[in-house]
Amino acid sequence: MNRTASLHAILIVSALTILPPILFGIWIVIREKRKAAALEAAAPSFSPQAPATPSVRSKSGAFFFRSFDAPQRVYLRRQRLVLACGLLLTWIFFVYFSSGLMSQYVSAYAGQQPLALRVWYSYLFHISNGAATHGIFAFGAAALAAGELGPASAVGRFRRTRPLSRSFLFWIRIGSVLSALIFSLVLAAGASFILLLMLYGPVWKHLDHGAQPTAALIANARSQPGPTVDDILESSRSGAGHFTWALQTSIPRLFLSIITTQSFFFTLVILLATLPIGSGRKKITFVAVSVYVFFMLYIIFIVVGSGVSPELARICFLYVRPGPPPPYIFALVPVMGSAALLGLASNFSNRNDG
Amino acid sequence: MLFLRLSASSGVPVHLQIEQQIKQSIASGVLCAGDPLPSTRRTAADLRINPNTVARAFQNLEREGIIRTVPGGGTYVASFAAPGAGLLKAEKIRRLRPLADQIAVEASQLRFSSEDVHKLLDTALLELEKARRARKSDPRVEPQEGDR
Amino acid sequence: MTAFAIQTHSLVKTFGLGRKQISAVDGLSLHVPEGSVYGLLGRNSAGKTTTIRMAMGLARPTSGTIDVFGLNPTRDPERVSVLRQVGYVPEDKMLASLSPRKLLELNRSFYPGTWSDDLARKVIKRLELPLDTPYMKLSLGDKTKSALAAAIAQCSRLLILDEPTTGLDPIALDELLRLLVEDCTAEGRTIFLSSHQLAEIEQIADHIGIMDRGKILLEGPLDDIRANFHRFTVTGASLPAGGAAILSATRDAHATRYIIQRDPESFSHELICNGATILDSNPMSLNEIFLELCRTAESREEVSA
Repeated sequence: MNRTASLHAILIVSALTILPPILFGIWIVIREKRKAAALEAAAPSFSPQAPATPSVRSKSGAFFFRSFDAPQRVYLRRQRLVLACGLLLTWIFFVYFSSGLMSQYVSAYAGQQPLALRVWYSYLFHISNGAATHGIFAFGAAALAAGELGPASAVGRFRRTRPLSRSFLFWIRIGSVLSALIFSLVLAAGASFILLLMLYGPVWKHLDHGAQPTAALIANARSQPGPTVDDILESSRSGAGHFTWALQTSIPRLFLSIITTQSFFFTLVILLATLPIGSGRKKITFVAVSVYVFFMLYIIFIVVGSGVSPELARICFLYVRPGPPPPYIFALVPVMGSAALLGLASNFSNRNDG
Repeated sequence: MLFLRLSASSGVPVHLQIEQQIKQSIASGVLCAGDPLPSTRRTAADLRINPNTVARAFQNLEREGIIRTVPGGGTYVASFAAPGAGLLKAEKIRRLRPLADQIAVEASQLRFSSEDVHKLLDTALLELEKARRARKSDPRVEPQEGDR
Repeated sequence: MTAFAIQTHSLVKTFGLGRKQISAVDGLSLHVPEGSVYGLLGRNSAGKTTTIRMAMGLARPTSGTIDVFGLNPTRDPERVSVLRQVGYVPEDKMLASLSPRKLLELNRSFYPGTWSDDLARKVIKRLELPLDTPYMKLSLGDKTKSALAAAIAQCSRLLILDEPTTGLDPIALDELLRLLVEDCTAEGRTIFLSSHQLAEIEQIADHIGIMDRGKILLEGPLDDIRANFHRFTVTGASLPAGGAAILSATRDAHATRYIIQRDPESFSHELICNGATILDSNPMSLNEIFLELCRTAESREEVSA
């Protein structure tokens, strides 16, 4: 693929992902500053309008908050911020999932093949190959979630000195961030699929549409300047490969694999953060080392998934390149692994000092 | 008006200081019979001390008949007939004896003669009487003039 | 049988492993009666903050027990019941990084049963707390005032204050003492505060605990402690060198100075009976008692080490 074209594509993708969050962040900061300035100027006395707690009588209250007591409702309400971040994350994943639809990428694969095949293959390839990038966001989300639970966090310590049980704090925090992560992946997947339909239509139905038989191409090459016979043979081989992969890849399992893998790494980071190892400076060193280890493990996993040990990849429901999908049942492996890691992390978090 | 000045490091327990100063105020006429005293909590808050300490002082004073609490609430200086009236001479001696002992010890430590000690006591009693008389003939009579 | 707001029994808390292990709290037996104002005094690394953190369920004891109102504050669900009844000001005065107004609005929703807006307004006015300054711009004193307002307005059964005088100017300090006496001692409520400011503690506390190197050196009602401690300067022959009641005896060319920790009257009586002359006899302020106790404990440690 053309170097400048690929650089172009990367820049566009990066700009698309970063720009809206930055603009949103700037808007929030300006709004807060204006509010603070207005309050400082007016300096009204302390007379809060709201009743002391989110009452059960409000419309969202009636359904959601019924079975929780006052402090728990307050804590639940604070998780609204997480939902907002989830929306941002949805946008970011949507951009990444749809990057395969960009013309720079579509034209990169098997140039001689029909457009439908190229689009489909590029789409699948970019979704499956983004595992490392998705991992960064999963990791970031986990760090955000676990940060509040740790002993160093002042906000965390505030919450731990209010009448809320430790396990409630843990599960609500982790639960809301994890569900925001999964939800954003699902939404982004659906949105990018709709985008594909809008731009190119149901391409997977017409994969061989407009394909020219290889023999005719070779005959053409002998009579005219252009691609050589070797080029054509090469492209037809890779084209056949692409075609097979494109046919075999199961889009639902692709997305499901992303969800299970990213959730698994999310829970792994949570566990690392709650391990009762050291404090203060030692803890920071430990976290830095474990981030490094995490990243290495992650790369190994990707490599395993992309060919070193296809068997292991199947069992772990790792699906990182177009090709035959692992059976659905193996999705339970990372899911149960995640649940086990979370259970362990919850145990540590409840017992930790802080 | 109840102006109390307490010293934490004088060695005298705070409740005792309160008792002594209230007695002093009554003796010198700053407080008269029937004058109201602020509540325990109020006094404690004003002085920034523990309410139990004030409560203890007030309880002791009440036991001695110097102040009285009304069932509805409120503490007042008892009328002058009460303090000392119900007390037997033996009880009064029992009360004053430790103070006398203390003066005796201090005086002998400082090599103060017996006559000087007597002179000291006379001067103190005289000054107390003077102060009381001065307060009685004070423009504190005003409220009554206004009522005319 | 007095009810205790806080009670510990041989409480131990160690940090670290092996050779680098530190015992922050080393066999602490503390008793805070309900309805009292209890001052926990101690030097900087005596273990006061660690003890308080254990009472708040922020740290788990290594061994021994700690009870708050008879409940275990380190294990859910009793921990939640404890936290419902406790107001807390931590040592670093950092509750949440919010402006005071936002902090108060947040905190009031956690304690719907007991929170008092009126009391919050009173504290704000008396301490002159700036409501809308963002957290980063608050001075240390303002942070302290903010944390105090949030905790006091909870009207909780127990108020735990870790160094509540940090950064407060004398006027704010005076107002704080007035507030504590006026609004936080009614209805059998307990105040537990740790401080270096002995003068202020001496004023409002009725119970004292002196802590050093993770242990309690002395604990009890303040009046009793002040009555028990006395300083004598004595001359004479055959003066006692030690005894149960003598905390320390310093001899020099002219006289011996005794610090007595129990029953000073009988001690002085005994001295006089044995023909000694008491040159000087003074009660001791809390500050002096504290200094003597810590110094004696330190020299005992050095001797036994």
